[in-house]
Amino acid sequence: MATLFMFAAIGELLDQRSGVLNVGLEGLMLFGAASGFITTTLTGSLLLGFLVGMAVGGAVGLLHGFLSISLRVNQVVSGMAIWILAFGLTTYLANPFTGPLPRGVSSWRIGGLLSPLFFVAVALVFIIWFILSKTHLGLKIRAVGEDPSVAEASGINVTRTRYLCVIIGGVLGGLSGAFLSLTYLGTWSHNPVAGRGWISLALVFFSMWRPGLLFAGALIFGTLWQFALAPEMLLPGLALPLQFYRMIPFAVTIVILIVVSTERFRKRWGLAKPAALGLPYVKE
Amino acid sequence: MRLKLERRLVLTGRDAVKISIYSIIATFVIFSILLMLTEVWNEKEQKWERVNPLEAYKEIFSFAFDPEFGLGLTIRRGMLLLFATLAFILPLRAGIWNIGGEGQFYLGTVGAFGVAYALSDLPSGALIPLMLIASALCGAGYGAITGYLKARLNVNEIVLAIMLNNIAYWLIHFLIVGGPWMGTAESVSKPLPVSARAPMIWEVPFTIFLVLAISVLLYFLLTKFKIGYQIRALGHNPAAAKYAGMSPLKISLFVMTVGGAIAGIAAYHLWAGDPGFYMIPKPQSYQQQGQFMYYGIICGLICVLNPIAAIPTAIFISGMTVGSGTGLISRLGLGFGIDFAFLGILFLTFVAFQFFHQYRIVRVKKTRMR
Amino acid sequence: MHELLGPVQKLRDFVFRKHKGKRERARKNLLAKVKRGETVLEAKGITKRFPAVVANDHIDFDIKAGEIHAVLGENGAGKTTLMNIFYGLLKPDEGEIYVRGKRVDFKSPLDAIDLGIGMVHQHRKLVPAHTVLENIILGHPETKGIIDVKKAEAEVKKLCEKYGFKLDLSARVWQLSAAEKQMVEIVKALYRGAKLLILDEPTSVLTPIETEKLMMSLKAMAKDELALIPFITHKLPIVLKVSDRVTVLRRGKVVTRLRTKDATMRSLARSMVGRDVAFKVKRVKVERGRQILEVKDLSALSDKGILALRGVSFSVREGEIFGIAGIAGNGQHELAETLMGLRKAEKGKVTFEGRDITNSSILERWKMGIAYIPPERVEVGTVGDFSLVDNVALNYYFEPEFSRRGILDYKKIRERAGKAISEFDVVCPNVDCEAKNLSGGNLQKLILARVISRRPRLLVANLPTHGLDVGATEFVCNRLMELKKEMTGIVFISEDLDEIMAMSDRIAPIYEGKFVDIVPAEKAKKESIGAMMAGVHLKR
Repeated sequence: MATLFMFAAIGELLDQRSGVLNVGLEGLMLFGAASGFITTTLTGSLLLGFLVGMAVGGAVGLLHGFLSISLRVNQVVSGMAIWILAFGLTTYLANPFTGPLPRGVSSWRIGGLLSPLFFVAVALVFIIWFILSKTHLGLKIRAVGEDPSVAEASGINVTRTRYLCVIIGGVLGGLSGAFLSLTYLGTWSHNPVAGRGWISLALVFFSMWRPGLLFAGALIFGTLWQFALAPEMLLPGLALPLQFYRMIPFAVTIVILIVVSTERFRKRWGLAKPAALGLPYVKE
Repeated sequence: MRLKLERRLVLTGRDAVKISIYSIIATFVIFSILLMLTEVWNEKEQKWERVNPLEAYKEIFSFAFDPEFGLGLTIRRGMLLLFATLAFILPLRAGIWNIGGEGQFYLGTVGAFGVAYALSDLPSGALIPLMLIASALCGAGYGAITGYLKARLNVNEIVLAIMLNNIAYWLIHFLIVGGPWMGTAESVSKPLPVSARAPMIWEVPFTIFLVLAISVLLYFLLTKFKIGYQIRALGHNPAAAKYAGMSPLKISLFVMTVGGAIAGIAAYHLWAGDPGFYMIPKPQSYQQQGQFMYYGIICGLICVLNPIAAIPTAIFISGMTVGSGTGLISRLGLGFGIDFAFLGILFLTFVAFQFFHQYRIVRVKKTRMR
Repeated sequence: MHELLGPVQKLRDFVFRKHKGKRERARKNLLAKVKRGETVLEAKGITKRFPAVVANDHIDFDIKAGEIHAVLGENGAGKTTLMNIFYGLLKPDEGEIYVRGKRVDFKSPLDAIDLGIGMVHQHRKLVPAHTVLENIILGHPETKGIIDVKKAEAEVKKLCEKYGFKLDLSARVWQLSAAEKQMVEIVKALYRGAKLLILDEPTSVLTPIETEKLMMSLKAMAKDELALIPFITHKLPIVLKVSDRVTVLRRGKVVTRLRTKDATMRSLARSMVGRDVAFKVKRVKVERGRQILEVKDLSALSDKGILALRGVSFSVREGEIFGIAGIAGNGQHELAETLMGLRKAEKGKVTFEGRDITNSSILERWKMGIAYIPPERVEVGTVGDFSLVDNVALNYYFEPEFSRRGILDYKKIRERAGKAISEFDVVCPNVDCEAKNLSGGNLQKLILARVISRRPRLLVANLPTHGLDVGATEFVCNRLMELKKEMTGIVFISEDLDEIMAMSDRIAPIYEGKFVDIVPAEKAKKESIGAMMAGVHLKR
C-alpha cells in the first residue's frame, strides 16, 4: 500500500517542487489504472500493462502541463478538470472490462507481502531526494519552484524545467495507478482509486516537500489504510471503527496545513513550501 | 493573413460569455468525435455500426426534455446541480474556491438524517423545516471551517476542502456501514420516515422552488446589498477591500457559511426529494451523488458566476447528462459512464478555453521591418 | 506555444552536451580579449512599446571596456526597460544590439550571460530560501550532475576577496541585509564570467558607508578586469563621483550624453526633469487650529519583517500641511499605512482628537474622519472591474445614510458620485464605465474626489502626485491646498523636494525610519532638506 502512495506522491513532490500543483492526482492514477488494466487484459502481458500505464500517465501529465504552463490556466481548476475527465472517461471506457484479470497473468509478489515494486519505489524516493538536493538539476528545479523570475534571470528555461517535472510526475502517477489495478487489486471496478490519489496529495503536503518525510509518511499512511481493515488483529484494545483510521491521514494533513501556514512556523522553519507553487509564470 | 497571440487588456462580461459559448461548441465537437469512434450493436440490422453524432444528439435532447421520459430526472438533477453551482458561485465572488461542496453535502446529509431519525414522530410540517435547518447548519458549519482557516491563516482552501470532503465521506460510511444508522441491507441506511419525504408539487419536490428562490435571492444580495458589495470588492481586489475598511474575515466566513448551507440543503433535496432514494444508499452510490457536487464548479464557471444565469446553465448541463446517460445507454446501447465522459470533456474544454481570458487571437498584417 | 517543442527536443536528444559545447565556444570567442577602450556593447534605435506607453523610444547607447557609464532618469523614464533588453529579459520591438561588433539577438538571459553580460537588479532576483552559495551557482552553464561544493566555494571565495566582498556562503538569503544581498548578486554575475555588469539602482537601499564601499569595489572592477559597468540611478552625487560618462533618459528618449567631467549637478537635473521652473501652486494661508493628531514613538515593520519605522514622533494641527520628505524605502510608506491602520504598530501610540487609535480598525478610522490616499492607485486605491459609482462607494458603503438595513441606496450613491466626478473633472463617458479604463491622472482624481468629498478631519496623502504629468500634479496639489480652508489636517508624503517645499507648513525629512528634523517652512532651505533626506546631519 505504501508503495502506491510513494509512487504517486514522489511524482507529485517533484511537480510541486518545480511550482506546479497537480490536484488531479486521483485522476492521473485513474488513467494509469484503467489503461494498464485494459492493456493487460487485451494483451495478457503484465509488463506491457505497466508500460502503457506509465505512458498514459506521462501524457496526462503533459496535458496538465500544457494547460497550466503554456495556457496559464488556474492549476487547481485544470487539475480538477483532469480528475473529472478521468472519472468520466475511465468509467466509460473500462466498464466493459469489469472483473478480474484473465487467468495466467500473475501478480508479482515476494514473500507474500511485498511486490518488487516496493523496492523500486523506495529507490525512486532516494533518487529523487538525491537529485533535488545534490545536483545542479535539482537546484534549478527548486529555484523554478521558489521564484521563476529569478530562475529565468539566471538563465534557466522555466518552461522546459516545469514540463520535465510534470511529465515525470505524470509517469509516476500513472505507474502508481497501474500498480493499483494490476498488482494490488487485480480486478476492475468502478472508481478503484477511491481516494487514494487524494491521500497521496495529502502525503506531499504532509512531507513538507521533503522526500525523507515522504517515505516515512507513506509507510504510516499505508499502514493506517491497511490497519483500518482489521484493527482488532494488531491492537485488540484500541480498535476504533475502520472509518476513523481512514480519516486520519486527511485529518493529519489538515493539521499540518494549518501549522505550516502560521506565522511562527514560517519564521522558524524558513519557507518549506515552494513559494511559487500554483502560480503560472508569465514572460513578457 | 497571419494570426498572432496577443495579451488581452480588458475582459468584458460579454467576452467571457462568448468564450463560454465557444467552449460548449468545442465540447460538442469533441464529444461527437468520441461518439463516432464508438461502435454500437444495432439490433435491427444485427451488426456493429458507428454512432451518428447528430442522431445521438437528437436522442439526447428528446429524451432529456420529454416529460414522459427524462424531464423529471433532468429537472431534479438540474436543481441539484443548481444547488452545487450556487454553493460554488457565492464564495468565488469573494475570491474563495469552494471545492468543499461534496463535504458540505455529506454533512448536510448527516444533519437531515440525524434530525429525521431522532424526531421521526413529528408531523411533516414540523419535521421537514427542522431537517432543512439542520442540513443547512451542518453544511454551513463545515464551510465555516474552510472560510475561517482561509481568512485567518491563508491555508490553501482547495487542499483543505478535499481533505475535509474525504473525512466527511468516511463519516457517513461509519454511520451506515455497520453503524448506528444501518438499515435493512448492509451498508445502506435506515429509510427516512414518511413524514420526512419532500412533498411534491407538480411531481417535483418543493425544494426546487426553494433553490430557484435562493438563486434569485443571491442575485439581489450581490447587486443591491451592502454585504454583496463587500463580497464583490473582496473578490475583485482584496487589497482595496481592506483599504476601504472591509473585514476579509467576516466576508469569508459569510460566503463560506452560506455556501456550505446551500450545499447542505442540497442533501435534503436529493435524499428526501427523489423517490429513488429516501435513504442513504451504499457508499459507492452516495459517493457518486456527492461527487456530483463538483460539477457545480463547471456550471458555475460557464455561467460566469451569475446566479440567475446558473439556472438555464444547470438545466442544460443536466439535460445533457441525463440524455447522454440514461438516454443514450438505453436507446443506443452505449457504454455505462458516457455521461460522465461528456461532463469530463466539457470541463476540460472549458478550462482550456480559460486561456482566452488572458489572450486573444489577432490578425496581423505583415509589416516591413525598417 | 512553441515551448512544447523544447521539451520534446530535449527528451529526444539529450542535447545538453551538444548545446553546451556550442555555447562554450561562443563565449570564449566573443569576450576573450577585451582591450581597454574598445566598444563592447552598442545599441541603435532601441524601441519597446507596452500596452499603455512607449518605454524606450529609438535609443542609441554604447559602452567601452573599462568604463563606468551611468544612465540617469526619473522614475518611468525607461531605464529599467532598456537594461532588461540588454540583458535579454525583454525583446525590443525595433532596434539592433551589437556586442563587440557582432549583431546579437538575445532570446533569453542565457544568451546574454554567455556573452558575459551580467545584471544586478533593483528588485533582488535571488531565491530567499536558498543559501548564498546556491544562489550564486544557480544555472551556471558549466555545471552538470552533482554539485561540487568544495570547488564552487573555493572559486566564489576567491572572487569575493578580489573585490572586497564579505559574505557568508552558507547563510540563507532571507537572512541577509539589503547590502549583502546586492553583493551576492554582483558575485553571482562575476562568477558567471561577466565582463559587462549592469547595475540597476545599486545604491537605493544602501547607507552612505555601504555606498562608499560599493563605489570602491566598482572602481576596482573597472580598473582590473576591464569590466564595464553601466549604472542606473537617480542620485546625482554618486553619478558625478564614480562614472566616466553619463547618459540621461527622459520619457523613453535620450536627452543628453556627456563625459562626466563636462557635467554639473544642475545641468544633469535639468536634463532629467526638463523644467527649471517649479509648477505653480497657490499657497493658502490658514490660521492653524488645535492639534488633532499626535504620534509618539511610532515603530512598524516593513513587509520583509525588518523594522522600517523606528520611533517617529510628531503632531499635526487642523488646517496644516505636514510634509514628510524622503526617498522611497525610508519608512514613510510604513508610517502612512500605520496611521491608517493598514499596518500594525509595533510600538508607540497614535492619538486622534484625544482618542487613542493605535489599535483601531481601518473601518473605525474612516468613520472617525481619517482618510488615506494610497500611492498604489490601481492595486489598492480602486477596484478596476468596478464602475466609477462602485468605486466611490468604497468610501461610502458603511455610512448609515447610504445603506439602510443592509441595502445600499444606490440612488444616493450615484448622486454623490456624479457630483464628485464633475467637481473634480474626472474624464469618463459616464458614471458607469469601469475604473480600469481610466488614465492614471483621472484615477487619482477619482480617488481624490471620493476621499475629499467626505470632508475628512485628517488626510494622509501618500505620494499623491506619483506618476502624474504636470497638469494633473498641479490640480492635485491645488485641491489639497483648498482642503486647508476646511480645517483638515494633512500629512503629505512626497519624494519631490520642490513639491514638499511648495506645499508644506512644516517639513520633516525622513531617513532610515526616523525624522531627521522637523523644520517650519519659512526656515527650510532646499539644499539642507535634500541633504537631510540623504542622511546628512542626523540628529542623535
